Amino acid sequence: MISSIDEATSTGRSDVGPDALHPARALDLILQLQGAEGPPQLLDALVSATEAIGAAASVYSVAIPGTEATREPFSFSLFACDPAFAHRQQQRGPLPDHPWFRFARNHSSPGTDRTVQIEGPADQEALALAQQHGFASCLIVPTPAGPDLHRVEMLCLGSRRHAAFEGEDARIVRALARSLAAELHDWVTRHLSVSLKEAARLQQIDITLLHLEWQGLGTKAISARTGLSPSAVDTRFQRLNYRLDCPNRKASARRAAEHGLLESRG
Amino acid sequence: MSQRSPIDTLRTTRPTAHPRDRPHRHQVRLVKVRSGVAAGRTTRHPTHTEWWTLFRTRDQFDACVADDPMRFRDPLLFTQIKAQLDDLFDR
Repeated sequence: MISSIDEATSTGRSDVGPDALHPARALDLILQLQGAEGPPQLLDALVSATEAIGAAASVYSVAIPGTEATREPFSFSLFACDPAFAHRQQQRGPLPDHPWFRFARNHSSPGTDRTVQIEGPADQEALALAQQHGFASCLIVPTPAGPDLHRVEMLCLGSRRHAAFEGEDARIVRALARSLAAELHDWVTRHLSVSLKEAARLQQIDITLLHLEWQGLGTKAISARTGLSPSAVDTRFQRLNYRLDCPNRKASARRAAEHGLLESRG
Repeated sequence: MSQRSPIDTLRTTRPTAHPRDRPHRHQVRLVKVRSGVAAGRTTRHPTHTEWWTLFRTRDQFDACVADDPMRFRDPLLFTQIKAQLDDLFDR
């Protein structure tokens, strides 16, 4: 058994329940995340896993910054917490501007609220709002998206108790949080790649072309690898660029990679 | 999040439309799940944002939008969302 982080959850239940505090139960719920049919079901599963870990609240978010390749910034977030927090936080501004996210952008290992740097009044306001809604203390788990990618992901677990995630007592909770973040990363990556594939109506040959471009190959090399003529390769990339709303093939490949559609260059 | 665009509970564009051709409007999706009703909100401008939250009770929704300008700017749409939410809770 692990110790309870919180007596109550901000998501509506009055107590966590002794069975929900067992690591095996928490791990089982974490593994069930992959079965979620869509974002609503994933959120539902995240709420259950958050409670099983004994936390009061959690937020998982993915951000792809706006670049020449990705064009408009993109963010996808799940708020397994008091919905009023989600609402007010979104009114304040995009979650990627939150100090939690800045921590995730600059770190690869988890950290607590004590390690989050406050850079101004906006940061203080953001953290004060979170503290009112089940994040008196928090554990931030950054999830590396992969080499050469700008995508940033993070899971933030919250507790109403101060320093709940510090020290040896929270060792198991921290381990479960990392597992939870990894499972969420896998699910969201699959979701983003499928969404982009459908939105841009990509066929397998398109993905192959983008993958070869992402590896740094030129038209002739791609032609030799795929059996398409060089002009056919160029034509296909022109259509791909239009459908992906990118100015060139390099940007298209980056956009596909940021959405998890391609394997890494290696 | 921008507060200038109305919330729209319906799909506003063809799914195959080019991103540049899609109007920048907000969408709200409500889905019944095991522990309540999940609400997803999507915005397209200036940031493409999708975020989901869970309402476990009807009261949570009322508390959420109590100070939302949308409630006063576009009361009809707000009423539609509220009715849809109530319908899902009743199922």
